[in-house]
Amino acid sequence: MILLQAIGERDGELVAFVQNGVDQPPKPDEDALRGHDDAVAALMADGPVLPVRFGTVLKREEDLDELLKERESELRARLAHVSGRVEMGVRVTWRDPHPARPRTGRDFMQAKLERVRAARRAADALHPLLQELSVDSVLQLNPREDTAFAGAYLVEKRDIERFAERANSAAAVVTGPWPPYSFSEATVDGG
Amino acid sequence: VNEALVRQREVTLVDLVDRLLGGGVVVAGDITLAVADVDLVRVSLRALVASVDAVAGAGAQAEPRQPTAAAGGGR
Repeated sequence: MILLQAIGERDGELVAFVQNGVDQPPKPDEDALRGHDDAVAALMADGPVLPVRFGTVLKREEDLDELLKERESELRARLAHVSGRVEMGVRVTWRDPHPARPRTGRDFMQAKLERVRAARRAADALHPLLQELSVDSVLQLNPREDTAFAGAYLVEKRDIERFAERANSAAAVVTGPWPPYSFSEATVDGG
Repeated sequence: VNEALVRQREVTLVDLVDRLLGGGVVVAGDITLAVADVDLVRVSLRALVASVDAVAGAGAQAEPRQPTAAAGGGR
């Protein structure tokens, strides 16, 4: 079996980056996740790559050629979209992760609604500023209980530091540069 | 650009989980031998992250938590 880690473009050719002779699918523990991320991040240095969903194992190597042929135009479009760019992550966490426990169902719904509104306000304050320094973005409101919003931004390599500074100045948690995990599967709008 | 410098910041397990198990090119169909329980693992990793967060939060208040979004008034 082969473990498919990323798809890239090298000298105009679509190429797959794999690990051969894998006995079984990788166990998704922290070490394996970090290993996958490190491998893909290293590939990014030599040209555009699309990370493949963690744990994707193919039965036969021959199937790889077919896959690349079948999805060539889609993969090339995505590679062009992420070329020269990286993904930056931004998280804003709640100051008060556990607000007062609601007493009634009505209070509960009211509190939930207020959380949604507050997350929207927080995102409205920062997201447009980060969009100015990025070419594409994916925004999630309230993705987890402790998080108001989490955004992924596709940023030109030359803008990484400016982007990080701008997000930091708003006291958001910034991570990256990442391989373009959040921009590998969505429809490419050519932006 | 000093990528290494930026990259070290606060890359937590949840950042990895969200991206590696929720993003990337999806290859489906006959040719893949899918990792059947990735979704389950995703759930359990999230649970793990939540519990680690809770422990860290209780024991490490000195660590600034980068709070920005006010949780809204009126509570």
